[in-house]
Amino acid sequence: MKRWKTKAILCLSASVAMLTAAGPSASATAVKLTGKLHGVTLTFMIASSGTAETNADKAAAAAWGKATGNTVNVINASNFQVQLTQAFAGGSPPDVFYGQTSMFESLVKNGELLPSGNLVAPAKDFYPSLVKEFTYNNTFYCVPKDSSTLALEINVDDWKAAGLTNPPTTWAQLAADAKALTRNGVTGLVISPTLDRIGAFFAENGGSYMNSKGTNFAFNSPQNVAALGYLKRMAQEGVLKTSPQVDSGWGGEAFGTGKAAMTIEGNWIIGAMQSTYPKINYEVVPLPAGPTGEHGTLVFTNCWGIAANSKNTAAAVSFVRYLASPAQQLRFANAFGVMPSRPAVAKQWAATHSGTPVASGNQTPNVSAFVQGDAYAMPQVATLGFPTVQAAFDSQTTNLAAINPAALLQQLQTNAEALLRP
Amino acid sequence: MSLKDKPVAGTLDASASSAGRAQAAASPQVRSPRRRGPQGKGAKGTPPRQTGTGRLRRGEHLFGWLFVSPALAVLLLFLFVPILLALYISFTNWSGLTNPLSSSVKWVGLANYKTLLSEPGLYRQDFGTAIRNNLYFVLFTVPLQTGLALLLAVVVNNKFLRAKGFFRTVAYFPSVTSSIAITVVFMFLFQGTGVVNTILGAFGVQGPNWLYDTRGLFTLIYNAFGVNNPSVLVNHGFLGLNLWGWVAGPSLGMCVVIIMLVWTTSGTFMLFFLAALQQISEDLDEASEIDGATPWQRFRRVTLPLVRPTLVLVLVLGFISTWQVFDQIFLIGPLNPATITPAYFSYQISFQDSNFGAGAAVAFLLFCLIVFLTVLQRKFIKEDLTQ
Amino acid sequence: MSAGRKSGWRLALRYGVMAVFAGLYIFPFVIEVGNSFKSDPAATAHALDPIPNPVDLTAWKQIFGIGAAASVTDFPRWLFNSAFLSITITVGRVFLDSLAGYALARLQFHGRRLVFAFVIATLAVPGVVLLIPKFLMLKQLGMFNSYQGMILPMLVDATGIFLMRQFFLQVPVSLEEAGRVDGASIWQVYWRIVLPVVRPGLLTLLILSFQGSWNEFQFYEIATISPKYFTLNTGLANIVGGGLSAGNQFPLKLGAATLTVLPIAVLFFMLQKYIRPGGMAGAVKG
Repeated sequence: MKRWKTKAILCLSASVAMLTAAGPSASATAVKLTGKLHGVTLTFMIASSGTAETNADKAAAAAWGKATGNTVNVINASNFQVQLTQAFAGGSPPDVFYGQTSMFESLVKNGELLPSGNLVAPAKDFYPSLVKEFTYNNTFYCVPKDSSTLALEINVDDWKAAGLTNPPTTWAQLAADAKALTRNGVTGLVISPTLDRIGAFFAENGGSYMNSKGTNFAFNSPQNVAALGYLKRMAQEGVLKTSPQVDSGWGGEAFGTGKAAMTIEGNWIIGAMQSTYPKINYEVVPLPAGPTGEHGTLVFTNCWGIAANSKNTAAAVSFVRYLASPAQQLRFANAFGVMPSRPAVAKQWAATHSGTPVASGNQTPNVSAFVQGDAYAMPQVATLGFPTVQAAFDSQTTNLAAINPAALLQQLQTNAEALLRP
Repeated sequence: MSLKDKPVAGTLDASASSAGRAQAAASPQVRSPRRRGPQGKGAKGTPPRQTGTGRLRRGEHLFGWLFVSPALAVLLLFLFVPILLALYISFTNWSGLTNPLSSSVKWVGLANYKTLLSEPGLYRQDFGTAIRNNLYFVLFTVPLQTGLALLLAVVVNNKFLRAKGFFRTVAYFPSVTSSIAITVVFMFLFQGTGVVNTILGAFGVQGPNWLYDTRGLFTLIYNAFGVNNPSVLVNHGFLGLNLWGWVAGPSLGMCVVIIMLVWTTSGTFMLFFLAALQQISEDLDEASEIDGATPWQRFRRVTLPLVRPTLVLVLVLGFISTWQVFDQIFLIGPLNPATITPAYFSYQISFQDSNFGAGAAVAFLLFCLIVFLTVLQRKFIKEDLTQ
Repeated sequence: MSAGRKSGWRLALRYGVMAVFAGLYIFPFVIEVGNSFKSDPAATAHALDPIPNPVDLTAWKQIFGIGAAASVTDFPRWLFNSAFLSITITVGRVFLDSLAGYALARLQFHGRRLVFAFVIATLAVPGVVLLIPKFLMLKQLGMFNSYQGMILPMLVDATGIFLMRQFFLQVPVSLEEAGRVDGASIWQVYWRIVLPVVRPGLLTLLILSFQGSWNEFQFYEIATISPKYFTLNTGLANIVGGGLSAGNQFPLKLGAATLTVLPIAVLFFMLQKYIRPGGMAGAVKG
């Protein structure tokens, strides 16, 4: 009832953004416009990767609240996209939320996302590739939260027990090592059954999600089919399994519980290993290159979104400034291993996390593999409606040994292309 | 869901408390058009009321409306109007993020319905899969829960049997428990190395990863006989699913939901049958026993005719509620094709894809399907009753 | 003689069937409770073993936030919400449904047949179809994510109205007329004379409404977004549905499930004699 001032706010915000671009004083004008800076209650919806991240977010919210005299209610969504849409559609959006790339465009087009990027910090402070993900029509809508890339995690004890030495750098070595590591109760390589892991192999084989011009999807390319075929062969040998096949919720759980000697996960696994599986002695190395020597991985990123319809955008902007501050970025990175979105902070963090894996209870894995991946990582598909298409693909990848790579990718291509039709 | 699930759940439990009343409660579903007849007659057939004075009659008008208006208001506001609103939405491209009545929402005519029914694509395929899943779910759950309930009732209905009260309590308890809690337990029982597969393993059977296994039960049987992907069936199909997909039977994931539902409801329905059976006099039963009738003959001649009304009621309740399975599917997984149902599909595409137009269209197609099946069923049951 | 032995065998068979099925009905609950006292790996490795060995309290510590673990549940809040909503809705339903049921059974007013036809028609609408429509309505009324929004649409149900109407129809008309002759108003006749007579019916509706609203899940899930509105069911679903990386955590989930079942189980065993069909039928006849 009360809402539907969307347009007015959008115009307002747009002019605010223009003003801010002109000079720093303009942001003060913007702050005055919506709500107070103290004594307000903000809702903060997160899509947490696990306990470590949830706790870090809660701690940050509490610290900011205490310092500024505000209250922040953290909502840890179990099904983030569904719950965020529900909140927006219901007219009760969270003030601050994880702005996922898959929802970014639709939020902008519907005027639901406050163009807050420059209000929080200048775009030049962040990695340009990340800023690009959250810029629409030359407006910097929200500041990048952090980024994560995929790398290969190896259980050092299993590795030594199998008598292996150098980590795999090629597909052939990966398959051979997985075979050597597979023994009673332990699978060489376990991955989560999703395009978000399998896609890395596309990139390593010179394949991609989109065609070179970015005008259409290219899921059914020969490179991608070959990459999926490679995974299928490993699965048929029994050296590659998916997490549900070993009763785990995700690759990191299979790895942490000792059911997998290797897994492929992103930075978030650091937090999970620290908080849930501190006894596992592991190492992080870059994903092996494909037959043509190509390196490839996937990058995942979020932004700090602020709802345009929030009654407290002033406080929300202040909160996001705190969340995206260099000091807090470092805290997040230390807590659950994500890469800071500010180059300056990222360097500082990588410098303190370059040690070799150490004994139980004191894991400080070398994060350079994650940082390194940033250079060649492939971003996620951001097309509206893609999550459903991906879900249809993912659901058929539980048993990789039984798939028909060409048919599966053709189906994915057809379904995805349907999204591009007007 | 609430308001509407209640009729089913409501009637169901009412019946548990008294079979006679349960049948009264079920009659709207069984033959509501005829109900209205007797009701009207009943109104006319109460001549004593007509003797009331004019003043009193005026009071009745006022109080009548006063008494029904709160209930009526709620039903109109949260049942009738929402349906109209959703019907409108199903003809638009509303994304859920703006006001559905604003000018930015485009009228797209039948486009959403076409996407679901005739255009090749993921939605049509998911919708077809959802219908297939639910169809097999209904075809398996209803006979199983009814049959098991009747069997248990016949077994337990013996005056020399002790611990009957205990058994009733135990059998009824699952239906008092929330579907969410039960689903959690069953997800645990049926996980890859879970309880069920451990038991199967003891017999040398390697159990599947039940919940996420999309293979159909019938497909596995066909495969055992060497039939796989016959081109006759593979090359034809409808709703994005080839005939081979349609005859696949319930997926192994759906089998878990079927077992869960039968486990939950059979105890309640057993109480229905028990209440009906208790009206059968022991003399009649004993007389037929001395007659030398076999147990099966006695069941056919004595028991079945007496529980027939209850049987019809249980079947009707089962058919209505099984088309609405949602909670269990919600927990088992987002867009898991092994268990997706139309009700859940509608929810998922509305909120996951911000496609409320298509979501509302799914809801209406499901609505039409249920109404159609109810009408069909009513015809059958009427014939059955007149026999 | 032989007949006696035969029936003895049959009785044994009956006991056998009963025992097997009693086991099947109880077994999942035993597994549920037993495994909540295990560690994650133990629950996965020895799922079938109902007795935890060794007993591991990690899951329960997490549930209640004891020690270092942050509480994953807000059990007191969930319990309060479940109880508050169920009681409010039950009271509302029993009152409003019986009012409407009485009017439809006994009061002569224009449009009565139309209203009754409408109530019957709403009985035929499958509830799950109403999920999205109800969400839309709550949004338009500005009631999304509020207690009003959770309660109001649940306050009346057509089945309840229909049930109550059936009960009122059984009450002898003479009873009311006696009251009217005494000069009682329509309200007084309803409240003081008729309502006490249909007490068994009210009790039935009360139990149905309470059970229904206590176990409600879909509508609450649709109607709210904030954790402060979590009921035992929606709260539990939020834990179980946790994203990919939340992991299996079955002891935690089973523990939380046990906790959500506990209040209704206690209530069920306390009120058992009212819920049992025999007891209820007796009450109605008496």
